[in-house]
Amino acid sequence: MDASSSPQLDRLAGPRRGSALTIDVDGEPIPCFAGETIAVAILTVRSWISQDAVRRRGLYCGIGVCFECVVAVEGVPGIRACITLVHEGMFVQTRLDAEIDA
Amino acid sequence: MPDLLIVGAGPAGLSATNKAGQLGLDCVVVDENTSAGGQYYRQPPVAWANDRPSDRLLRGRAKIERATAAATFRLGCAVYGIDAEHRIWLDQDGSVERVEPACVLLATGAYDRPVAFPGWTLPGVMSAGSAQALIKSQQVRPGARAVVAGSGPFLYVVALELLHAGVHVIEVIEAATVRSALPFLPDSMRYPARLAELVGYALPLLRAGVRIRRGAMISSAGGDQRLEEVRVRPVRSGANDPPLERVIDADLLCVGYGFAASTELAQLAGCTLAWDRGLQQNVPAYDEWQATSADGVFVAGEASGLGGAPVAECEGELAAIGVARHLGRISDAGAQRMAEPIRSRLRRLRRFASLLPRLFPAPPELAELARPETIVCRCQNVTFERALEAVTHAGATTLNEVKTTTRCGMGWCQGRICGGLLPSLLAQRAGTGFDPASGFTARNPVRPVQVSSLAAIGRVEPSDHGGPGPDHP
Amino acid sequence: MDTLSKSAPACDPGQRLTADVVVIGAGIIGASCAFALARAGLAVHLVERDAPARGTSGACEGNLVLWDRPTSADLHLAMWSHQRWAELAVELPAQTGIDIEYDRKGSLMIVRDEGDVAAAQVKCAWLAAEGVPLEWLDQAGVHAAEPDLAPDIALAVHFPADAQIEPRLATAALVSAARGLGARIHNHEAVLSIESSEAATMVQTVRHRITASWVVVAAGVWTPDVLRMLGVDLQVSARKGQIAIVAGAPIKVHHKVMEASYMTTVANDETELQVAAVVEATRAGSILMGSSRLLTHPNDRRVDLEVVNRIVAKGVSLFPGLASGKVVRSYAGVRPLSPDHSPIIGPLPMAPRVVLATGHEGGGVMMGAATGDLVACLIAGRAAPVPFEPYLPSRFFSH
Ligand SMILES: Cc1cc2nc3c(=O)[nH]c(=O)nc-3n(C[C@H](O)[C@H](O)[C@H](O)COP(=O)(O)OP(=O)(O)OC[C@H]3O[C@@H](n4cnc5c(N)ncnc54)[C@H](O)[C@@H]3O)c2cc1C
Ligand SMILES: Cc1cc2nc3c(=O)[nH]c(=O)nc-3n(C[C@H](O)[C@H](O)[C@H](O)COP(=O)(O)OP(=O)(O)OC[C@H]3O[C@@H](n4cnc5c(N)ncnc54)[C@H](O)[C@@H]3O)c2cc1C
Ligand code: FES
Repeated sequence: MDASSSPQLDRLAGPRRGSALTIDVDGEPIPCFAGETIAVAILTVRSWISQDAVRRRGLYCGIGVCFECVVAVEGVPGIRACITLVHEGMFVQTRLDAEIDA
Repeated sequence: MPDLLIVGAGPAGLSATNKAGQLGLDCVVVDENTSAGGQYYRQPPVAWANDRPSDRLLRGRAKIERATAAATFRLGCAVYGIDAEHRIWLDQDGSVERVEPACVLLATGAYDRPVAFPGWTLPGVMSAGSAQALIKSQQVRPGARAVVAGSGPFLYVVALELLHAGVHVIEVIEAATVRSALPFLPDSMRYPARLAELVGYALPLLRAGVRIRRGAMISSAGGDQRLEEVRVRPVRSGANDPPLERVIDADLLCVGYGFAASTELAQLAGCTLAWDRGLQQNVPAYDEWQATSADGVFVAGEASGLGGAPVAECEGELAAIGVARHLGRISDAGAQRMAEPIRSRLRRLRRFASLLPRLFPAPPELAELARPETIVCRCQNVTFERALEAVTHAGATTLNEVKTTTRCGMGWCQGRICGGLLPSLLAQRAGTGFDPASGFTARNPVRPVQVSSLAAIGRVEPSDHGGPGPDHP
Repeated sequence: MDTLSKSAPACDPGQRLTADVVVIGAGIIGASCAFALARAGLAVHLVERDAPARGTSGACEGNLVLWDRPTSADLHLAMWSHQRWAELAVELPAQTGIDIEYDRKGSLMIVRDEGDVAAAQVKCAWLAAEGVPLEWLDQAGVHAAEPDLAPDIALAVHFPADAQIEPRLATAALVSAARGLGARIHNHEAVLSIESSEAATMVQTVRHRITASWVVVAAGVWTPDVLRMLGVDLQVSARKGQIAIVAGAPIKVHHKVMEASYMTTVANDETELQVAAVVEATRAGSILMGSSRLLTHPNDRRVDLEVVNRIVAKGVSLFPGLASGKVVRSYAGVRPLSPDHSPIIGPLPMAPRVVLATGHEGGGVMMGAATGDLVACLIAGRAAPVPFEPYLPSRFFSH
């Protein structure tokens, strides 16, 4: 893994998290915990959340306002990864390319 | 239908709920977050055990518990629209519903004011509030090496939280200087406790070896597909003066040059707006009961002006009293009696709050940073050059005109981000009388809503318009 | 910002100006008039109380579709306009640098209900006789043309010549081109009063007093307000239409796709809400869904979210794949409707130096290019490719 893709986030050691689960991000399994947001799950394995035709996108406002972090979940586009919680087997698509450009 | 629908379960909404409960109002609270608390009382997931909860977290939790007993809470539920008749549209996980409460309280809060500089769209560059939310509710370390840039006490709060989360905070880049704050210091001295609180944030940072640079600001961010370096400059160095720039290696840049109020719902409800000096934007105007110009629509908290959590809480309580009075549940005299102590507290709090933007103003030099190729509308990847051309070539003088020819503000976020940064940016850089107070006209839906959800109810022919056209399904 | 024209005299900001023509309203119609008049060599002042395309022309779609035109008068103007837009699509970008996103994508009229078949046949026979190219598509043809259409759709008419532009950009380009030809643009400058005599007219705005030989009133649904300044009563009704914009739907929409019943909603005098499905993709990748019609007042641009639901339901019935997209925005505009559904273009009988250009209802973009030319022909005293008579305001004042 090159520097540009090493994870942005680490989980803190202190708190006891929810139960372990796995989500599917573009076909890759990503382990995470109940109560975490999609953004956190993804950013603990790489440095960006999604990618459009122009650039990689991460978190910006972090509170659901800017839609920088949108992904598709179970085929539904425009889901804000920063405020949406994961669930077991959730299918997340992060290649936006031209298609989600409103 | 409820007496009162409260949008936003932050400090303002929660205080309003508790007061409304005391006054016997039938109240529904809606927040798109999956937990209550708003920004100030942001909570980790309920099920996560936490051995060392902070004092603020505990206070928030107690407040939320009380409010939950006093009203119906709908979390993870967005208000996506409001029309001029004050019909309110909710979207809960794709299930859409219309409510018509007697009154509405808009306690929709604020978000970090966006600033466009080269590299601000790189992953790793985020708002200060974003880093804070990651730590507080998700209990993660948002990066390894951080620079915190902006202006005001919130910077130090966030820097301290980063430090506690194990982030190496390299520098805090503060735009204000002691000299720029000097004229306001005498006034500030009247609030020793609040000043002590500010110092209380800075001391541990200094002790931990965090450099605090005053009179400096962000210049640009760089890196290959993610943040690798941050460039900072003195605020007053003249535009793009490379010799004065410093480069700091970092993988996290937290930016906090103040806040912008979330006012779309108020605009759509037809509330009269007024210019807010502290926020540098139009916000809903309100009276001594927090009532707006729109009948039955109230506002409280950061959605209607700067103030911080204590102000938001007082305003929330006042609004609840105002609603009860408006609905005739309490007498005017009774309402006045209840309101008086809250108002006197508010007056003092607001006086201090109004000092903050003067002590820590967002420097106008921020408008020097965007380069022609810098993206200003993140949703649509519109560059500064294109937005500027709309003004300099096509003669646009308002933000709506810029939208007409550039598609700024037409993406997923509905213009909250570019709408927050373009007015001052264009006014300063275009130099042709662009109106810095102009904004985008708010549009329903204020949150994107799934087509299938709308189609499901749209298919049922409403009985009140049985259009006799040939279009029966 | 405002470029002083070569031909228009320099202004003393104190206020008196003279011109050959004052055009009131910078929607697509006023912008087209200003451009055509400036090109005819006249000194033009375009006066707009807001900014270009901030009225109905900024709250519409940009279809250049012939088959929904309700009358022959409309159709003839539209056919001429069709040709003009194709030319302007090349000229305007060259002159102004603004791409108006012209796309000759063709349109599809979806004939779904038994009841619509006969009406569509009658309409198509008429269109074909008028020289509009069209072809009937069977089930296989329909789905070859639009693979994402609902599978049960078995009949449609394809109009290969129909096109689309971006109306805001087109308005901006026309204004910019007019300015380049010497026209003077007054934005944020409302007209307060008009005086008209045999020889000249005087337009008083919030900032200037402009004396001109002619005044063109292209104030859309607000035209009656402007005419009242002259003591003239003329009905132009306001028909509100809403649009819902969808992002993220995993489908492709190649043509402009409309239900056949759309033409009925255009042509009738219904006052209650009518909804007919209209679906199109924009170059930016989003999908626009219309359409609704509801008689209202000129300043009613409020979005009714119930109507959005109905529009969306109709759109999904054509393209089921839209269901997984999201509505990111909606807006409403008010179409200027004349009493007989045809545009009103020409001098007022009681004030012949005041020329109207309005009443295009749902076809102002379509007919906009030719409307400007027609007005320029009228004022310059030249013949036009279509007769003037069907559009003249005098038809409403004959008795
Ligand atoms: C990211 C961030 C972090 C902050 N941290 C601090 C801090 O640590 N200390 C401090 O003193 N101040 C902080 N502030 C300032 C803060 O805004 C106020 O102190 C306080 O939270 C304001 O309270 P409020 O109730 O007005 O709004 P908020 O606390 O912002 O609450 C508003 C709520 O409304 C909800 N909402 C908004 N629109 C909708 C909608 N359409 N549908 C459904 N729900 C909606 C939001 O989800 C949110 O929960 C922060 C601000 C931000 C933006
Ligand atoms: C939802 C919808 C979809 C549509 N789709 C299509 C389509 O696909 N194809 C098509 O051909 N047509 C379409 N139309 C119709 C088209 O939008 C209109 O016919 C056209 O925009 C009318 O243009 P206009 O210039 O006459 O009016 P406007 O654009 O409204 O311009 C009138 C201008 O006059 C100005 N004005 C008014 N009073 C004054 C005053 N006193 N002083 C100065 N200025 C003044 C106003 O500010 C305004 O800018 C649609 C309409 C709607 C609502
Ligand atoms: S980061 Fe702004 S909405 Fe998620």
